[in-house]
Amino acid sequence: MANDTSARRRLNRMAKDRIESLRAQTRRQVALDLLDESGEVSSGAVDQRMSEVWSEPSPEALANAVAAKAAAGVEFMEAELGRLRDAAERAAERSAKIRERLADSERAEDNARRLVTEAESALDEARALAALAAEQGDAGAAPAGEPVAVAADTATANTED
Amino acid sequence: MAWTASKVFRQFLADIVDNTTAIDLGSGSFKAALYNNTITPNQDVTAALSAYNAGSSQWLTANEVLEAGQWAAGGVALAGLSVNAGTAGVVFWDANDVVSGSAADLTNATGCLVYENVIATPVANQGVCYNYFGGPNSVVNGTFTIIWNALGIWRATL
Repeated sequence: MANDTSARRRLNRMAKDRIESLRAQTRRQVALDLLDESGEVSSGAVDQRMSEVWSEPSPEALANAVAAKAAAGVEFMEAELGRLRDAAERAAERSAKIRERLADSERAEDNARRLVTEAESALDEARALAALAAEQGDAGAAPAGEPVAVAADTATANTED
Repeated sequence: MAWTASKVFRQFLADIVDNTTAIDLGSGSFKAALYNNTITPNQDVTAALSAYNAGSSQWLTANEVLEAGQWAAGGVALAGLSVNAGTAGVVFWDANDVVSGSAADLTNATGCLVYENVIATPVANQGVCYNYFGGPNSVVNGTFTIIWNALGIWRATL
């Protein structure tokens, strides 16, 4: 509030200065015009002509107009700033999701590599077992297609001496 | 429960000698059926319990090693039968070796039952003897052959 009052006083002072400047500028121009018209100029003639052409604006009205424009500008800037903040938040969220998906992809890649390694180990083990089975063969059975001949013992019946 | 030896059925010899059965070892009809090692053959059982697939006997098809078309249930017929009394003090019975089809799949055949498969007195399918192969034998998509011992299928030394 203190800042608002101080700013307001400054604004009023600036308005008065601006009106003073405009009045002085107008008075000079009136004097020049009178000189051109009649070849002579006096302060009375200038005052007369000023009363005809000059309408003193209100410093408060001028200050109010300037303050209104400034407030509108501030309001616009604040709205723009809010939109920029929202956009920044959305960008941050998207970035976080992308990082999360990247982490998931990296984990999936690690799992896939581990599964490939395990499958290769199982394959090596199966090959070793197959080689061992081929060496040992199947006890008691001939290879497929091979004939088997068995020798039958004679059933004997012997008498005692 | 297992095979250990080859034996002639005691009751068969008795039935042959006392004419209880008309089994003719020189020209009859005989078969060799294969069995696994879950049975325990016994030469001293009755004629009924020596018969192929007789109820309560060891020689049931549940224990038989077979394959339809190769070594069918009931076994393969014996051919080339002979009763040999040409050696002093010895009588033995022999036949040709028995062969399966050429694409047999047989597992753990440990021995065979040799039985007569036509005459029904005193029992049908009466056992003559059983012969041990020495252990389980298997064949995959091949020929299975029983090679009878040179001393015969069964032999009596007097």
